[in-house]
Amino acid sequence: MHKTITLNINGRDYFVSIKSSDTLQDVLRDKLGLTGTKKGCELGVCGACTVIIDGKTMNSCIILAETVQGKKIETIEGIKKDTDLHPIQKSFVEHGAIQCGYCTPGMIMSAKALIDKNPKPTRDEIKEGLSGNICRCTGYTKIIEAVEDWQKFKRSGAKIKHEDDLDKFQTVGKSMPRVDAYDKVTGSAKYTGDFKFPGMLVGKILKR
Amino acid sequence: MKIPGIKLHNAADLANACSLLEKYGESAKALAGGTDLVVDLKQKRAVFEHIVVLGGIAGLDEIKLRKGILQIGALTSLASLAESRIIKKHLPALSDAASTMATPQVRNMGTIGGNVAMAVPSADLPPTLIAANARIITDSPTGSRIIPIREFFTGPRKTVLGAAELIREIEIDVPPANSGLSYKKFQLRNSAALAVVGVAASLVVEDGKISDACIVLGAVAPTPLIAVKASRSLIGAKPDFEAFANAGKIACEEGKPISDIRGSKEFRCRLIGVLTRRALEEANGRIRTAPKRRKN
Repeated sequence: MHKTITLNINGRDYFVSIKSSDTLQDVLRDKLGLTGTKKGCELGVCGACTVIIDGKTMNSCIILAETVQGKKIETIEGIKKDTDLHPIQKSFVEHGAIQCGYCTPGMIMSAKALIDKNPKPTRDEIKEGLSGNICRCTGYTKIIEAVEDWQKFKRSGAKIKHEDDLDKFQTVGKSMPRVDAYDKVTGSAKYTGDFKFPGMLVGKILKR
Repeated sequence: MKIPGIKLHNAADLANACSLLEKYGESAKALAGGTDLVVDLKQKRAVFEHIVVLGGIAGLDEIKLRKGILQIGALTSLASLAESRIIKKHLPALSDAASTMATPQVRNMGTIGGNVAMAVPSADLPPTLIAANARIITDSPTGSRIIPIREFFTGPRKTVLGAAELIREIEIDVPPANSGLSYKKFQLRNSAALAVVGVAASLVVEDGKISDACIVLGAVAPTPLIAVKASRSLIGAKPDFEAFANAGKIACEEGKPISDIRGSKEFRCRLIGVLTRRALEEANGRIRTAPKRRKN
Protein backbone atom coordinates (compact mmCIF):
# COMPACT_ATOMS: atom_id res chain seq x y z
CA MET A 1 0.00 0.00 0.00
CA HIS A 2 1.37 3.36 -0.99
CA LYS A 3 1.11 6.56 1.01
CA THR A 4 2.35 10.08 0.46
CA ILE A 5 4.80 11.55 2.92
CA THR A 6 6.81 14.76 3.11
CA LEU A 7 10.55 14.63 3.53
CA ASN A 8 12.72 17.68 4.05
CA ILE A 9 15.87 17.01 2.09
CA ASN A 10 18.63 19.58 1.65
CA GLY A 11 16.27 22.35 2.72
CA ARG A 12 13.49 21.43 0.33
CA ASP A 13 10.23 19.62 0.97
CA TYR A 14 9.60 16.59 -1.22
CA PHE A 15 6.19 14.98 -1.44
CA VAL A 16 6.76 11.40 -2.27
CA SER A 17 4.65 8.29 -2.60
CA ILE A 18 6.18 5.41 -0.67
CA LYS A 19 5.51 2.02 0.87
CA SER A 20 5.94 1.68 4.63
CA SER A 21 8.69 -0.84 4.05
CA ASP A 22 10.79 1.60 1.98
CA THR A 23 14.03 2.70 3.58
CA LEU A 24 15.24 6.26 3.32
CA GLN A 25 17.96 4.96 1.00
CA ASP A 26 15.33 3.45 -1.33
CA VAL A 27 13.40 6.71 -1.42
CA LEU A 28 16.44 8.92 -1.99
CA ARG A 29 17.84 6.77 -4.78
CA ASP A 30 14.83 5.20 -6.48
CA LYS A 31 12.11 7.80 -6.00
CA LEU A 32 14.07 11.06 -5.98
CA GLY A 33 17.07 10.11 -8.11
CA LEU A 34 19.51 11.25 -5.44
CA THR A 35 21.97 8.46 -6.22
CA GLY A 36 24.91 10.17 -4.50
CA THR A 37 23.80 8.27 -1.40
CA LYS A 38 25.41 4.95 -2.21
CA LYS A 39 24.22 1.43 -1.72
CA GLY A 40 26.84 -0.78 -0.10
CA CYS A 41 26.14 -3.42 2.51
CA GLU A 42 22.47 -2.40 3.00
CA LEU A 43 22.78 -3.55 6.61
CA GLY A 44 24.03 -0.46 8.41
CA VAL A 45 27.71 -1.32 8.52
CA CYS A 46 29.69 0.13 5.60
CA GLY A 47 28.62 3.78 5.79
CA ALA A 48 28.29 4.31 2.01
CA CYS A 49 24.69 5.47 2.51
CA THR A 50 25.50 7.95 5.30
CA VAL A 51 23.21 10.97 5.50
CA ILE A 52 22.94 13.65 8.17
CA ILE A 53 19.63 13.79 10.02
CA ASP A 54 19.09 16.70 12.42
CA GLY A 55 22.86 17.13 12.56
CA LYS A 56 23.69 13.48 13.18
CA THR A 57 25.11 10.94 10.77
CA MET A 58 22.96 7.89 10.20
CA ASN A 59 22.84 4.93 7.83
CA SER A 60 19.95 5.62 5.46
CA CYS A 61 19.76 1.92 4.52
CA ILE A 62 18.34 0.95 7.92
CA ILE A 63 15.98 3.88 8.42
CA LEU A 64 12.35 3.48 7.43
CA ALA A 65 11.58 6.57 5.35
CA GLU A 66 8.25 7.17 7.03
CA THR A 67 9.94 7.62 10.41
CA VAL A 68 12.02 10.65 9.39
CA GLN A 69 9.20 12.97 8.36
CA GLY A 70 9.64 16.40 9.93
CA LYS A 71 13.39 15.97 10.29
CA LYS A 72 16.12 17.82 8.41
CA ILE A 73 17.84 15.41 6.05
CA GLU A 74 21.13 16.35 4.37
CA THR A 75 22.61 14.32 1.54
CA ILE A 76 25.80 14.67 -0.48
CA GLU A 77 23.85 16.54 -3.18
CA GLY A 78 23.00 19.30 -0.73
CA ILE A 79 26.30 20.34 0.77
CA LYS A 80 27.80 22.47 -1.95
CA LYS A 81 26.67 26.08 -2.18
CA ASP A 82 25.43 26.78 -5.72
CA THR A 83 28.39 25.83 -7.86
CA ASP A 84 31.00 26.26 -5.13
CA LEU A 85 32.09 23.04 -3.50
CA HIS A 86 31.96 22.73 0.28
CA PRO A 87 35.47 23.18 1.75
CA ILE A 88 35.59 19.53 2.75
CA GLN A 89 34.80 18.53 -0.83
CA LYS A 90 37.60 20.77 -2.10
CA SER A 91 39.99 19.30 0.40
CA PHE A 92 39.12 15.77 -0.76
CA VAL A 93 39.81 16.80 -4.37
CA GLU A 94 43.07 18.57 -3.50
CA HIS A 95 44.39 15.69 -1.40
CA GLY A 96 43.47 13.02 -3.91
CA ALA A 97 41.44 11.42 -1.15
CA ILE A 98 39.40 9.60 -3.79
CA GLN A 99 40.09 6.40 -5.61
CA CYS A 100 37.09 4.49 -6.89
CA GLY A 101 34.94 7.07 -5.15
CA TYR A 102 32.19 4.77 -3.97
CA CYS A 103 32.73 5.47 -0.26
CA THR A 104 33.42 9.17 -0.89
CA PRO A 105 29.90 10.62 -0.42
CA GLY A 106 29.50 8.76 2.87
CA MET A 107 32.98 9.78 4.00
CA ILE A 108 32.25 13.41 3.17
CA MET A 109 28.94 13.33 5.08
CA SER A 110 30.66 11.89 8.16
CA ALA A 111 33.46 14.42 7.83
CA LYS A 112 30.99 17.29 7.47
CA ALA A 113 29.02 16.26 10.54
CA LEU A 114 32.30 16.03 12.44
CA ILE A 115 33.61 19.48 11.51
CA ASP A 116 30.20 21.09 12.00
CA LYS A 117 30.50 20.03 15.63
CA ASN A 118 34.26 20.22 16.04
CA PRO A 119 35.97 22.50 13.47
CA LYS A 120 39.47 21.51 14.53
CA PRO A 121 39.40 17.79 15.09
CA THR A 122 42.58 15.96 16.06
CA ARG A 123 43.78 13.04 13.97
CA ASP A 124 42.32 10.62 16.48
CA GLU A 125 38.99 12.43 16.47
CA ILE A 126 38.95 12.27 12.67
CA LYS A 127 39.66 8.54 12.72
CA GLU A 128 36.88 8.05 15.24
CA GLY A 129 34.50 10.29 13.27
CA LEU A 130 35.12 8.31 10.07
CA SER A 131 35.19 4.90 11.75
CA GLY A 132 31.74 4.05 10.41
CA ASN A 133 32.82 4.47 6.78
CA ILE A 134 34.66 1.68 5.06
CA CYS A 135 36.99 2.34 2.10
CA ARG A 136 38.00 -0.80 0.24
CA CYS A 137 40.59 0.94 -1.89
CA THR A 138 42.41 1.32 1.47
CA GLY A 139 42.99 5.01 0.98
CA TYR A 140 42.36 6.14 4.55
CA THR A 141 45.54 8.19 4.98
CA LYS A 142 44.67 10.76 2.34
CA ILE A 143 41.08 10.91 3.54
CA ILE A 144 42.23 11.69 7.08
CA GLU A 145 44.65 14.31 5.73
CA ALA A 146 41.89 15.89 3.69
CA VAL A 147 39.71 16.28 6.77
CA GLU A 148 42.65 17.61 8.82
CA ASP A 149 43.29 20.24 6.18
CA TRP A 150 39.73 21.37 5.40
CA GLN A 151 40.02 24.86 6.92
CA LYS A 152 42.40 25.83 4.12
CA PHE A 153 39.41 25.81 1.77
CA LYS A 154 37.04 27.63 4.09
CA ARG A 155 37.26 31.02 2.39
CA SER A 156 34.51 31.20 -0.20
CA GLY A 157 35.97 31.00 -3.67
CA ALA A 158 39.07 29.23 -2.31
CA LYS A 159 40.52 27.29 -5.17
CA ILE A 160 42.09 23.94 -5.52
CA LYS A 161 45.76 24.06 -6.54
CA HIS A 162 46.22 24.42 -10.33
CA GLU A 163 42.45 24.63 -10.88
CA ASP A 164 42.95 27.52 -13.32
CA ASP A 165 45.80 25.76 -15.08
CA LEU A 166 43.44 22.96 -15.97
CA ASP A 167 41.50 25.32 -18.23
CA LYS A 168 44.67 26.59 -19.84
CA PHE A 169 45.95 23.10 -20.49
CA GLN A 170 49.08 23.99 -18.49
CA THR A 171 49.20 20.77 -16.60
CA VAL A 172 52.41 19.07 -17.58
CA GLY A 173 54.68 18.41 -14.59
CA LYS A 174 52.05 19.36 -12.06
CA SER A 175 50.01 17.10 -9.82
CA MET A 176 46.46 17.71 -10.89
CA PRO A 177 43.20 16.66 -9.32
CA ARG A 178 41.86 13.49 -10.89
CA VAL A 179 39.53 14.13 -13.80
CA ASP A 180 36.47 12.61 -12.14
CA ALA A 181 37.16 14.12 -8.70
CA TYR A 182 34.42 16.75 -8.96
CA ASP A 183 31.77 14.17 -9.85
CA LYS A 184 32.89 11.86 -7.09
CA VAL A 185 32.84 14.44 -4.28
CA THR A 186 29.43 15.76 -5.30
CA GLY A 187 27.79 12.37 -5.68
CA SER A 188 27.02 12.96 -9.34
CA ALA A 189 29.37 10.19 -10.54
CA LYS A 190 27.29 7.31 -11.85
CA TYR A 191 28.03 3.71 -10.94
CA THR A 192 26.31 0.67 -12.43
CA GLY A 193 23.65 0.57 -9.72
CA ASP A 194 22.82 4.24 -10.25
CA PHE A 195 21.53 3.91 -13.81
CA LYS A 196 17.85 3.76 -14.51
CA PHE A 197 16.27 3.27 -17.92
CA PRO A 198 12.61 2.93 -18.83
CA GLY A 199 11.65 -0.72 -18.76
CA MET A 200 15.06 -1.66 -17.39
CA LEU A 201 15.61 -5.35 -16.75
CA VAL A 202 17.56 -6.17 -13.61
CA GLY A 203 19.60 -9.35 -13.43
CA LYS A 204 20.66 -11.09 -10.29
CA ILE A 205 23.34 -13.69 -9.80
CA LEU A 206 21.89 -16.68 -7.97
CA LYS A 207 24.32 -18.77 -6.00
CA ARG A 208 23.66 -22.27 -4.85
CA MET B 1 17.17 -6.19 -0.01
CA LYS B 2 13.52 -5.42 0.46
CA ILE B 3 11.44 -5.62 3.58
CA PRO B 4 8.18 -7.56 3.13
CA GLY B 5 4.98 -5.53 3.57
CA ILE B 6 4.70 -3.83 6.93
CA LYS B 7 2.39 -1.28 8.47
CA LEU B 8 3.78 1.43 10.71
CA HIS B 9 1.92 2.78 13.73
CA ASN B 10 3.24 5.96 15.30
CA ALA B 11 2.80 5.66 19.04
CA ALA B 12 1.73 8.91 20.70
CA ASP B 13 3.03 7.81 24.08
CA LEU B 14 4.21 4.67 25.80
CA ALA B 15 0.72 3.63 26.93
CA ASN B 16 -0.44 3.91 23.32
CA ALA B 17 2.54 1.85 22.16
CA CYS B 18 1.75 -0.88 24.69
CA SER B 19 -1.89 -1.05 23.68
CA LEU B 20 -0.93 -1.25 19.99
CA LEU B 21 1.41 -4.14 20.80
CA GLU B 22 -1.37 -5.82 22.76
CA LYS B 23 -3.86 -5.30 19.94
CA TYR B 24 -1.69 -6.81 17.21
CA GLY B 25 -0.09 -9.50 19.38
CA GLU B 26 2.59 -11.65 17.79
CA SER B 27 2.44 -9.87 14.46
CA ALA B 28 3.67 -6.63 16.09
CA LYS B 29 7.05 -5.36 17.23
CA ALA B 30 8.23 -2.10 18.71
CA LEU B 31 10.79 -0.06 16.76
CA ALA B 32 13.24 2.19 18.65
CA GLY B 33 16.55 2.96 16.89
CA GLY B 34 15.98 0.16 14.40
CA THR B 35 19.64 -0.81 14.12
CA ASP B 36 18.77 -4.42 14.98
CA LEU B 37 15.12 -4.69 13.98
CA VAL B 38 15.33 -3.13 10.50
CA VAL B 39 18.33 -5.34 9.70
CA ASP B 40 16.43 -8.40 10.95
CA LEU B 41 13.42 -7.43 8.81
CA LYS B 42 15.63 -6.95 5.75
CA GLN B 43 17.30 -10.30 6.21
CA LYS B 44 13.95 -11.90 6.97
CA ARG B 45 15.26 -13.19 10.27
CA ALA B 46 12.21 -11.54 11.77
CA VAL B 47 8.78 -11.15 10.19
CA PHE B 48 6.30 -8.68 11.63
CA GLU B 49 3.30 -7.13 10.00
CA HIS B 50 2.84 -4.27 12.42
CA ILE B 51 5.68 -2.03 13.51
CA VAL B 52 5.00 0.26 16.46
CA VAL B 53 7.24 3.31 16.06
CA LEU B 54 8.48 4.66 19.40
CA GLY B 55 10.69 7.44 17.97
CA GLY B 56 8.00 10.11 18.18
CA ILE B 57 7.39 9.67 21.91
CA ALA B 58 8.65 12.77 23.72
CA GLY B 59 10.72 12.77 26.88
CA LEU B 60 12.08 9.24 26.65
CA ASP B 61 15.56 10.26 25.53
CA GLU B 62 16.68 12.15 28.59
CA ILE B 63 19.41 11.47 31.12
CA LYS B 64 18.64 12.86 34.56
CA LEU B 65 20.21 12.79 37.98
CA ARG B 66 17.63 12.98 40.77
CA LYS B 67 18.29 12.41 44.44
CA GLY B 68 21.31 10.25 43.80
CA ILE B 69 19.59 8.20 41.10
CA LEU B 70 20.57 8.22 37.43
CA GLN B 71 17.47 8.00 35.25
CA ILE B 72 18.12 7.11 31.65
CA GLY B 73 15.18 7.20 29.24
CA ALA B 74 14.82 4.09 27.08
CA LEU B 75 15.20 6.06 23.84
CA THR B 76 18.50 7.66 24.89
CA SER B 77 20.88 7.05 22.00
CA LEU B 78 24.15 5.22 22.46
CA ALA B 79 25.92 8.40 21.30
CA SER B 80 24.20 10.48 24.00
CA LEU B 81 25.17 7.86 26.55
CA ALA B 82 28.79 7.97 25.38
CA GLU B 83 28.93 11.77 25.47
CA SER B 84 26.73 12.58 28.47
CA ARG B 85 28.51 14.64 31.13
CA ILE B 86 26.33 13.17 33.84
CA ILE B 87 27.16 9.59 32.85
CA LYS B 88 30.85 10.36 32.35
CA LYS B 89 31.01 11.81 35.83
CA HIS B 90 28.97 9.28 37.78
CA LEU B 91 29.21 6.07 35.77
CA PRO B 92 32.07 6.40 33.27
CA ALA B 93 32.06 2.64 32.64
CA LEU B 94 28.67 3.00 30.94
CA SER B 95 29.81 5.74 28.59
CA ASP B 96 32.96 3.70 27.86
CA ALA B 97 30.80 0.69 27.00
CA ALA B 98 28.55 2.77 24.74
CA SER B 99 31.49 4.37 22.95
CA THR B 100 32.95 0.98 21.96
CA MET B 101 29.79 -0.04 20.18
CA ALA B 102 29.27 -0.35 16.43
CA THR B 103 29.93 2.84 14.42
CA PRO B 104 29.20 6.55 14.98
CA GLN B 105 26.17 6.28 12.69
CA VAL B 106 24.73 3.30 14.55
CA ARG B 107 25.43 4.96 17.91
CA ASN B 108 23.41 7.96 16.73
CA MET B 109 20.46 5.67 16.00
CA GLY B 110 20.63 2.79 18.49
CA THR B 111 19.13 3.20 21.96
CA ILE B 112 19.88 1.89 25.44
CA GLY B 113 16.36 0.45 25.69
CA GLY B 114 16.80 -1.39 22.41
CA ASN B 115 20.22 -2.74 23.36
CA VAL B 116 18.87 -4.12 26.64
CA ALA B 117 15.56 -5.42 25.24
CA MET B 118 17.18 -7.21 22.27
CA ALA B 119 19.25 -9.20 24.80
CA VAL B 120 21.96 -10.22 22.37
CA PRO B 121 24.58 -12.22 24.35
CA SER B 122 27.45 -10.00 23.17
CA ALA B 123 25.65 -6.73 23.99
CA ASP B 124 27.96 -4.20 25.61
CA LEU B 125 25.67 -2.33 27.98
CA PRO B 126 24.15 -5.18 30.05
CA PRO B 127 27.34 -6.29 31.89
CA THR B 128 27.96 -2.76 33.17
CA LEU B 129 24.29 -2.25 34.02
CA ILE B 130 24.28 -5.53 35.97
CA ALA B 131 27.49 -4.63 37.84
CA ALA B 132 25.86 -1.28 38.69
CA ASN B 133 22.66 -2.99 39.91
CA ALA B 134 20.42 -1.15 37.46
CA ARG B 135 16.64 -1.37 37.58
CA ILE B 136 14.52 -1.65 34.45
CA ILE B 137 11.30 0.33 34.68
CA THR B 138 8.65 -0.92 32.28
CA ASP B 139 5.13 -0.04 31.20
CA SER B 140 2.47 -2.42 29.96
CA PRO B 141 -1.31 -2.43 29.70
CA THR B 142 -1.42 -4.03 33.16
CA GLY B 143 0.73 -1.29 34.68
CA SER B 144 4.28 -0.40 35.47
CA ARG B 145 6.89 -2.57 37.16
CA ILE B 146 10.47 -2.40 38.33
CA ILE B 147 12.69 -5.30 37.31
CA PRO B 148 16.17 -5.72 38.83
CA ILE B 149 18.40 -6.18 35.78
CA ARG B 150 19.85 -9.37 37.29
CA GLU B 151 16.45 -10.97 36.72
CA PHE B 152 15.90 -9.50 33.27
CA PHE B 153 17.78 -11.76 30.83
CA THR B 154 16.57 -15.34 30.37
CA GLY B 155 18.38 -16.50 27.21
CA PRO B 156 19.86 -15.32 23.91
CA ARG B 157 17.48 -12.60 22.71
CA LYS B 158 15.09 -13.56 25.52
CA THR B 159 13.98 -11.47 28.48
CA VAL B 160 11.22 -11.40 31.08
CA LEU B 161 9.46 -8.63 29.14
CA GLY B 162 5.83 -9.41 28.32
CA ALA B 163 4.58 -9.17 24.73
CA ALA B 164 3.03 -5.74 25.28
CA GLU B 165 5.59 -4.54 27.82
CA LEU B 166 8.13 -1.84 27.00
CA ILE B 167 11.09 -0.34 28.82
CA ARG B 168 10.42 3.25 29.91
CA GLU B 169 13.56 4.00 31.84
CA ILE B 170 16.66 2.51 33.37
CA GLU B 171 17.54 3.59 36.90
CA ILE B 172 20.89 3.31 38.58
CA ASP B 173 21.86 4.45 42.06
CA VAL B 174 24.92 6.68 41.78
CA PRO B 175 27.78 4.49 43.01
CA PRO B 176 29.29 5.70 46.31
CA ALA B 177 32.67 7.45 46.31
CA ASN B 178 34.49 4.44 47.73
CA SER B 179 33.45 2.32 44.75
CA GLY B 180 34.61 2.02 41.17
CA LEU B 181 33.26 0.40 38.02
CA SER B 182 34.87 -0.47 34.72
CA TYR B 183 34.03 -2.20 31.43
CA LYS B 184 36.70 -3.83 29.28
CA LYS B 185 35.98 -5.27 25.87
CA PHE B 186 38.02 -7.21 23.36
CA GLN B 187 36.97 -6.77 19.76
CA LEU B 188 38.60 -7.72 16.48
CA ARG B 189 38.59 -4.13 15.21
CA ASN B 190 38.10 -0.79 16.92
CA SER B 191 34.94 -0.11 14.95
CA ALA B 192 31.89 -2.02 13.79
CA ALA B 193 32.78 -5.05 15.86
CA LEU B 194 30.93 -7.07 18.46
CA ALA B 195 32.56 -8.03 21.74
CA VAL B 196 34.55 -11.26 21.64
CA VAL B 197 34.48 -10.95 25.42
CA GLY B 198 33.28 -8.04 27.54
CA VAL B 199 33.85 -7.79 31.28
CA ALA B 200 32.34 -5.32 33.71
CA ALA B 201 33.70 -5.16 37.24
CA SER B 202 32.71 -3.14 40.27
CA LEU B 203 34.57 -2.80 43.54
CA VAL B 204 33.79 -1.26 46.92
CA VAL B 205 36.76 -0.64 49.18
CA GLU B 206 36.52 0.05 52.90
CA ASP B 207 39.48 0.53 55.21
CA GLY B 208 41.90 -0.68 52.58
CA LYS B 209 40.02 -3.90 51.91
CA ILE B 210 37.49 -4.93 49.30
CA SER B 211 34.06 -5.11 50.93
CA ASP B 212 32.03 -5.83 47.80
CA ALA B 213 32.78 -6.85 44.24
CA CYS B 214 30.82 -7.85 41.18
CA ILE B 215 32.30 -9.25 37.99
CA VAL B 216 29.96 -9.67 35.01
CA LEU B 217 31.00 -11.47 31.84
CA GLY B 218 29.49 -10.68 28.44
CA ALA B 219 29.60 -12.71 25.19
CA VAL B 220 30.62 -15.92 26.98
CA ALA B 221 27.23 -17.40 27.89
CA PRO B 222 23.62 -17.27 26.65
CA THR B 223 23.07 -14.26 28.93
CA PRO B 224 25.42 -11.90 30.74
CA LEU B 225 26.97 -14.00 33.48
CA ILE B 226 27.86 -12.95 37.02
CA ALA B 227 31.15 -14.60 37.95
CA VAL B 228 30.02 -15.37 41.48
CA LYS B 229 33.11 -17.23 42.70
CA ALA B 230 35.54 -14.73 41.23
CA SER B 231 33.59 -11.86 42.77
CA ARG B 232 33.50 -13.60 46.16
CA SER B 233 37.25 -14.29 46.06
CA LEU B 234 37.88 -10.56 46.30
CA ILE B 235 35.92 -9.89 49.49
CA GLY B 236 38.26 -9.07 52.32
CA ALA B 237 41.30 -8.93 50.03
CA LYS B 238 43.54 -5.95 49.48
CA PRO B 239 42.78 -4.33 46.11
CA ASP B 240 46.05 -5.27 44.42
CA PHE B 241 47.35 -6.96 41.30
CA GLU B 242 47.55 -10.34 42.96
CA ALA B 243 43.92 -10.35 44.08
CA PHE B 244 42.75 -9.10 40.66
CA ALA B 245 44.81 -11.65 38.72
CA ASN B 246 43.51 -14.42 40.97
CA ALA B 247 39.92 -13.27 40.42
CA GLY B 248 40.63 -13.33 36.68
CA LYS B 249 41.83 -16.91 36.93
CA ILE B 250 38.67 -17.96 38.76
CA ALA B 251 36.45 -16.05 36.30
CA CYS B 252 38.01 -18.02 33.42
CA GLU B 253 36.54 -21.17 34.87
CA GLU B 254 33.11 -19.62 35.35
CA GLY B 255 32.54 -18.45 31.79
CA LYS B 256 30.82 -20.80 29.35
CA PRO B 257 31.99 -19.50 26.00
CA ILE B 258 31.40 -21.13 22.65
CA SER B 259 33.69 -21.14 19.63
CA ASP B 260 32.47 -18.99 16.79
CA ILE B 261 33.69 -16.78 13.97
CA ARG B 262 35.03 -14.20 16.43
CA GLY B 263 37.10 -16.53 18.55
CA SER B 264 37.54 -20.03 19.92
CA LYS B 265 36.35 -21.20 23.29
CA GLU B 266 39.94 -21.45 24.55
CA PHE B 267 40.81 -17.95 23.34
CA ARG B 268 37.73 -16.52 25.03
CA CYS B 269 38.59 -18.25 28.30
CA ARG B 270 42.03 -16.63 28.27
CA LEU B 271 40.47 -13.26 27.45
CA ILE B 272 38.13 -13.50 30.44
CA GLY B 273 41.13 -13.71 32.77
CA VAL B 274 42.98 -10.79 31.25
CA LEU B 275 39.95 -8.52 30.86
CA THR B 276 38.71 -9.29 34.37
CA ARG B 277 42.07 -8.25 35.82
CA ARG B 278 42.19 -5.09 33.70
CA ALA B 279 38.60 -4.14 34.56
CA LEU B 280 39.30 -4.60 38.28
CA GLU B 281 42.46 -2.48 38.03
CA GLU B 282 40.58 0.32 36.31
CA ALA B 283 37.66 0.06 38.73
CA ASN B 284 40.12 0.34 41.60
CA GLY B 285 41.69 3.41 40.00
CA ARG B 286 38.28 5.05 39.87
CA ILE B 287 37.71 4.86 43.61
CA ARG B 288 37.70 8.46 44.72
CA THR B 289 38.12 8.40 48.47
CA ALA B 290 41.42 7.21 49.85
CA PRO B 291 40.81 3.79 51.32
CA LYS B 292 43.22 4.39 54.17
CA ARG B 293 43.43 7.47 56.37
CA ARG B 294 46.75 9.21 56.15
CA LYS B 295 48.68 9.62 59.37
CA ASN B 296 50.11 13.07 59.86
